[in-house]
Amino acid sequence: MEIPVEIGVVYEGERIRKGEMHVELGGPKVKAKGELVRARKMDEIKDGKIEVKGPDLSEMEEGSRHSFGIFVEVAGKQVEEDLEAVIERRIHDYCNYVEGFMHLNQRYDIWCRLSKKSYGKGFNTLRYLGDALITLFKAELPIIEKIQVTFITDEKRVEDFVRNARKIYEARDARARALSEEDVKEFYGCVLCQSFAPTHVCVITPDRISLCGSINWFDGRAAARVDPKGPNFAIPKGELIDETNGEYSGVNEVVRERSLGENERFYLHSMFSSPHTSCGCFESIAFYIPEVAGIGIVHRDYSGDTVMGVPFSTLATQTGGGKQIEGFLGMAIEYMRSPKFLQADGGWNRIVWLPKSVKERVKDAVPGELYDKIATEDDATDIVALKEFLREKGHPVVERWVEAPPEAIEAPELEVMPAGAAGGIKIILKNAKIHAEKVIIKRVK
Amino acid sequence: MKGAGFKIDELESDLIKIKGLEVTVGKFYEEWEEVMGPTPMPSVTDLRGWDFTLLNRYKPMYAPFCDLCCLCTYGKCDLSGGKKGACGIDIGAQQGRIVLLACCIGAAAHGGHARHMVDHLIKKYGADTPIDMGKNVEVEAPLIRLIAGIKPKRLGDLLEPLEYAEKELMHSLSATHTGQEGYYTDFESKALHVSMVDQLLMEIADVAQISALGFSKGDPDSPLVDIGFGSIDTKKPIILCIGHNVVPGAAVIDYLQDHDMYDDVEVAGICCTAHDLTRYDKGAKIVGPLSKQLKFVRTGIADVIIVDEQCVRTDILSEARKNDTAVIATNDKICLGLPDRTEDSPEDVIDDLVKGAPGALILDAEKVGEVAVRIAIKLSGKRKRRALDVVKEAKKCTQCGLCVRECHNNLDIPKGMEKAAKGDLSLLSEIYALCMGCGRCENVCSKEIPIVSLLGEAAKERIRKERYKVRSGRGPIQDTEIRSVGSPIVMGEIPGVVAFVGCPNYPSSSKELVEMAEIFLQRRYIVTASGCAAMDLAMYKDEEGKTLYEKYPGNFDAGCLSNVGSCVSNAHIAGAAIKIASIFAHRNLRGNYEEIADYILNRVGAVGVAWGAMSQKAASIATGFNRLGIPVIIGPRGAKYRRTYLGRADKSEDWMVYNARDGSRTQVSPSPGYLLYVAESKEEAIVSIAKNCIRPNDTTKGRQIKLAHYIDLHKRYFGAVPEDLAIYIRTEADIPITLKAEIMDILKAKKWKPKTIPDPTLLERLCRKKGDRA
Amino acid sequence: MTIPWFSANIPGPKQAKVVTPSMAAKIMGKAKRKMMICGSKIDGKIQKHIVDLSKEMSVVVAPSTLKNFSGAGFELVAKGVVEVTNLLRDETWKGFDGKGNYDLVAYLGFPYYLESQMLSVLKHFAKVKTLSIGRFYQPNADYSFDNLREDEWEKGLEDLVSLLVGRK
Ligand code: SF4
Ligand code: SF4
Ligand code: SF4
Ligand SMILES: [Zn+2]
Repeated sequence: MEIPVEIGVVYEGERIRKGEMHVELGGPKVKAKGELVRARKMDEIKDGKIEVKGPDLSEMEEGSRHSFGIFVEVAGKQVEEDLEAVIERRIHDYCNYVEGFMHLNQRYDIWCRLSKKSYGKGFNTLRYLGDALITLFKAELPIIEKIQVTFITDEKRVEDFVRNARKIYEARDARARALSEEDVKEFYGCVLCQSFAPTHVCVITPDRISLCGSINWFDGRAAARVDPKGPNFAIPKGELIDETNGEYSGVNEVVRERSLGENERFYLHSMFSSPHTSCGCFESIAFYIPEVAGIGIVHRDYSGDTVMGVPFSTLATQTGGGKQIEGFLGMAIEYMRSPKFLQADGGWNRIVWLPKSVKERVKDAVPGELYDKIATEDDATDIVALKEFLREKGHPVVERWVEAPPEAIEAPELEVMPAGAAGGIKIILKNAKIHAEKVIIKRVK
Repeated sequence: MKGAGFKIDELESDLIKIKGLEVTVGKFYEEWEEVMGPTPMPSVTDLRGWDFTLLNRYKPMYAPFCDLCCLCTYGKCDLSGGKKGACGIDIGAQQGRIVLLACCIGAAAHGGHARHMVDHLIKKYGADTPIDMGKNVEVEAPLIRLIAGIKPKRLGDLLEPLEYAEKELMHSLSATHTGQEGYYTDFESKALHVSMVDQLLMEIADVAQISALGFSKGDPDSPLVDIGFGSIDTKKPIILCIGHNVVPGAAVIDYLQDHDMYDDVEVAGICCTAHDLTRYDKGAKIVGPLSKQLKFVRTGIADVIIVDEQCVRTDILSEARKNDTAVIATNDKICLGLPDRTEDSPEDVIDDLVKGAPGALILDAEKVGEVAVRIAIKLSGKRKRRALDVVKEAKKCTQCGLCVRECHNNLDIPKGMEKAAKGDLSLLSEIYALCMGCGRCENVCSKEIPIVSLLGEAAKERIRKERYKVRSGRGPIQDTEIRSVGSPIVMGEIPGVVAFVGCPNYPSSSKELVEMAEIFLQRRYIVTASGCAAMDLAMYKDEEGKTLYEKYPGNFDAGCLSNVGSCVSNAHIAGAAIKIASIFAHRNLRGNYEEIADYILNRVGAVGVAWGAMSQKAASIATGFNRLGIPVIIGPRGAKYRRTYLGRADKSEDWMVYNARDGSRTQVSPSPGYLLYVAESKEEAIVSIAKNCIRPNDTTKGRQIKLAHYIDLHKRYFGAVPEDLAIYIRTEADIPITLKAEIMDILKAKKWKPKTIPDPTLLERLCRKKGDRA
Repeated sequence: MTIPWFSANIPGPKQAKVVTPSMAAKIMGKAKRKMMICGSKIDGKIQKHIVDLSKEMSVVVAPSTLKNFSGAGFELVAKGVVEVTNLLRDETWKGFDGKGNYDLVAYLGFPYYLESQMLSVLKHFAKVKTLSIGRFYQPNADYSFDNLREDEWEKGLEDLVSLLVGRK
C-alpha cells in the first residue's frame, strides 16, 4: 500500500487551519472521540489488519466533522498492560508525522484534521493512516510483534468505544497511582542528559518521575525494553538499605557506574546527605532554609523573588552538572504528588514556601491541614516574614525550632588573618618592594 | 575597591626584620566563590594551543583578494607564484595577516564603541550603577566571566575587562606590522584571539547600556515596533540617526520627552543605532538596515541626520547636501571635516545650520539632543527637495552598460532605463528591491544619471508599502529559557539553534533570508537574530500581511524568533551557548575559555548565518564565534573575506576525539563540518545549516531529529538523499524511524558498522581515567 | 590587456591568458585529468553543454542544481564549490574517482566574484591549471574567456563543446 503523502518527523510542527482542512475528526465540536491502545495475547489479533468502522474519508463531505475513535491492539512477548499508556501516547506523534494530518491532545479529547492538499494527493482512506501507524510502531517499538488498527467514525460506535475506553483509562490511572517502589523489581535510569551533563543520572521509580518531568516509570520501562542498551535502562533495585531515605543497593551501584565514580550513593527521597543529582532541566528546585529549618520550592516559570530574596535562576545555579549538593534538589513538579515526596526530610510537613501557582497546581497532593500553613509570595517575601507566618499558622516545622533553635548564619565580616605559624623563623627583608597586582579577599571559614 | 599600600622603613622584632619595605596593592577583589580557571584575561598566546587544535581540524583555505602587498615602502610586493615580499612574507601568511587586520578593525570598532559607552554612562549615572540583566538572568555577563574571570557588579567593574581588551587589541594589531608575525597559523591564532576579545567588548557595551539605559532585560515579549520607510510619518519633522551608538539618539528622545514634544517629531534610525533607539523607547522607528542608508538619505525625507559611529556612509555630508538635510556628527570616529561646535551655544549652532551650514560636530550628547530637535523643527517643510523627472533622466541613458558591470548584483539597469524612457517604471522599481544601495553604478555612469535616486523615485509606491513590525531587541537570553529547552533538545524535539546575524550584503534579495529563517522556524529550531539581519527578517509579509515577528513568539525556544538587538547584542548569542555549559554541566566559567569552547564545539548544536556579511566587524564576530566552537555560514560574498575554515569529512583522522569517560580515542561524525563556510546559494546554506547542527554528543533521539531534517531538506532542495548520510549514523537508534527501511538499505550497501557515542572532548586533560575515583 | 569584468578586480601582474573557444578546446583536449565545476547559475541552455562535456571529463555541479540534472544519464558529483576547491589544493587527494588529483579544472556558472575567489585559491595554493569559460574575463584563472556578449558566449560554448566532443 503506497501512501500518497510523505511521512516524516519534519511534519510534526505542521498546523492545519480551518480553511485548509478537508475534514475534522474528533475535536471540540463532536461529542464522541477517543483513542486507546490495548495489549493482547499473540493469538488474539491479526498482524497488519486495518479496519474502518463507519464512513471512510472518501465518504465524508468536505468541511465536515465526525466522531472518531482510534483503537490500536498490540501483542508481543514483551508487551504488557503496563506499557499501554506509553504506546498510546505515540499515536499522537505518529499521526503528526503524516503530511497533512494533524493530531492534538490525547485519550477522550483527540482532535484531528486532514488537509485538503493531502486529500487531493489521494489520501482518501484511513487505511493509509493505519498503515503509517503500523509501520511506525513497528519501526520504533520492535517489542510490538503484532499490531492491528481499527478506526471508528460511526457516531454510535464511537460512543460505545469511548465509554469502554474511559473505564480503562481510569483503571490505568488508579494502577499508576497505587504503584510504588515496593511493588516493582526494577527502577529505570535515564542518561539522556549526559550529552550535556556527563555525570548526571536520573533514577526513575514509581514514586519518582524524572526531574525534567518527561519520563515516568512506565516510560522508562517501555524505553528500556525497546533498547536495553539505550539511554533508558533497567536498574535492578537490589536491597533496600534505608527505607526512609529511599536508598537501594542497586541504585547505588548503577549511580556509581554511570556517574563514572563521581557519585556513590543516592537517597531517592531526601535532599540531604546524598541527594539525587541534577542536570539543568529540572522543573523546580527545593532549597533548604536554615533559618526556619524548612524547605522552600520554586519552579522555573516563577520569575519573582523567592523568600530567599533571589529568584529561581539564582537558586538553580546552586545545583546541576551531576553534582550532589546538599540542601538543593532539582525535581519535577509531579514529584510533589509522590507519596514518598521528600519523606526522609519530613515530606510536606517540611515545606514552608511555594509560589502560589504551583501550590494551586499540586493542591490535591498537599495534606489538607497543611495547605494554609505553607507560605506563598503573598504571605512572605523574606525570612523574617516567613518566620512570623509559620509561627502564626503553627506550621509543623515550628516544633523543630524548639529542638534546635535555628540561627541565621551571619556572613562573617572580612577578617584579617593574623600572620601566625611563622614561629622560630626569622625573615629579613631589606629594601623590599612588594606589589600585588590584585589581592583577593577571601572569607575565612 | 581601589588600590592601597603601605611602607615600613625599619622594623625589627624577634621574628622579623624589615628595612625599607613597601607593599602596594593594585586592586582588591571581593571573593567570588567560583574557582579561577587556567586563563583569566588570556594573553595573545595563552589559548594558542586551543587555536591550533581548531586549525588542525578546520584548516584555513585562503582566497587572496589581491596578489600584492602595499603595506610598506619596500612594496608593492608581488606575492604570486610563490614569491615572497621584501620582508619575507609569503602569500599564505599575508592572507592570515589581512584577516587578522580585519578582525582587529572589527574589534576596535566595538571596542571604541564600548569605551565610549562605558565612560559616558559612568559619567552620567555613576560607576556604582548596578549591572542588572533582570531576574531570570543569573549569569549576567557570561563572556566577561569566561574571558576576564570577573563577575561585574557595577558599571565601574567593566573598566578592567575593557582595559584588558584594549591591551590585547594593541598586541594583536601590532603583529601585523612589517617584520612581525610570519606564519599563517599564528596570524590565525591572533585573529581568533582578537575576535574573542571582540566578543568581550560587545558584551561590555551591551551590558552597560542595558543596565544604565533601561533596555529590555531579556524580555521575550519586548514590544513590536515599526520598521520600514512607510512607517515614517513624513508630515512631522524627522530626525534620522545612523550608526551604532545610541547615546546621541537617546539624548534626542530625552529632550523631546522633557519638552513634551515626542509626539510632534519623528525619531528614526538606520542600522544598529535604530535597534537601540527602540530598545530605549519603543516609539522610535527603524527605517531599516544599512542597505537602506543611501536610498533613504536620497529621498530627502530627513530634516536632520545624526551620525554616530560605524557603517555610516562616508559621503553622508555631500549626500545630505543634495536635499539640504543638516548633518550632526557626534563621535570622534566620524568628524567629517566639520567645525567642532561642542562649546558653542545651541542658538549659534542652530542659526548657522538653518542658514545653510552643512553640518556641525558636537561631542556632547545632550547638546546634540537639543540642537537636533530645534533644527529639525525649523527645517521641516522648508528645505528645497529636488524634484526628479525619471523619464527625462532615463532618456539620457546610452545603454553603455558600465553600470551593470559595476553593480554588485549585476542588476540590469540599462534595461530598466530603456523601459523607463518609454514611461514604464516597473523594471526600475523591481531593481530597487534588489539594490544594495552601494551607489557604485552612479560613479561610473557615463551620463551622470543619479541612478539610485531614480530607482527610489520609480519605486515610490513600493516604498510607501514598506511598513512592517520587528520585535525590539530583547537583550540577553534568560537562564530559565535555556533550562527549559534542555530536555526537548535531548529528547529529540528541538533540532538546533540557528542565529541570523550580520550585514545586508546579500547575493540577491533579502527575501532569501526570510525564507531561510522561516524554514527553520516551521521546523521548530530555535531561531535568533541580531543587527541588520534581524531587521531584514521583519521586512517581508506573508499573504495574511504578517511578518515573521508577528507569527513567531520572541522566546528562545523551539519555533520562536528572538531578536537579541544590535551588533553588540551578538554577545548574548555567544552568551547563551556559554550558559549551557554552566547550567547543565555546572562547568566553571571563570577564566575557563578553552574548556567551555571545547564543550560548545562538541555539544551545542548552534549555527550562525551571516548571509550578507560585509564589514570587518562581521569578520571578527564570525571569527569570535569560531574560537568558541560555533560554526558560521556566510553568503557567497563572504568569499571576499579571503579565508574559510573547512574540515575534511573524507579524512577520518581529523575527527578523532577523546572519550572523556575513559580517555580513549574515538572517531566521531564530522560535525560541525566547518567553522566558516561560504555557501553559494540559499539552498546550499539551508542544507548546510541543518547538517552543521549535528554534534558528537547528540543523544540518539537528538541525532534522529537532526538527521530527519538534514535528509528532508537535502531531498527537497537537492532532490536526493545525502551521499554522506552513513557517516552521521552511529547506531541504529540514530536513524529517523520514518526512514528506517530506506536507510538500512543504504547502510548495508556502505558496509556500515555501529560506533560508540563518546563523551567527546578535544582536550586530553578533561578525561577522567576509568575507575580512578571509584 | 583585458580588463576584468568588475573593473577593480585586478589581482596583480599575473593575470589569466585570454583564450578563444578553440584554444580552450585544445587546452582541455591536452589535459589528462580534467574536471568541470559548475555553479548555481546554470540554466537549461548551458546544461545541455555540460551533459555533453561530461562524456569528456568529470563534472561537479552545485548541489542546488542537482535536481535539474536528474535523468541526464551520467554520474555526477554534487558539492559546494568551496569544498571542491578545498579538495583540489590537496595534492594527495585522490579525486572523486579515486584516480588522483586533477590537472585541469574548468569553472562555469558562478557569481563572478565567487568564481574569482575560488580561482584565486587555486592560483596560489594548488598545482592544477584553471580555465574559466564563463561570460566574463576572470583574471585569477590561468586561462579565461574574454568578456563576451551573451550571444558571443553562447556560440563560444557551442564551439568549445563541438570541438571537444566532436573530435572523438
Ligand atoms: S610589508 Fe612586506 S610584503 Fe608588504 S610591501 Fe612591505 S615588504 Fe612587501
Ligand atoms: S546602487 Fe544598487 S544598482 Fe547601483 S551598483 Fe549598487 S547595488 Fe547595483
Ligand atoms: S552607465 Fe548610465 S548611461 Fe550607461 S547604461 Fe548605465 S545608466 Fe545608462
Ligand atoms: Zn536534563
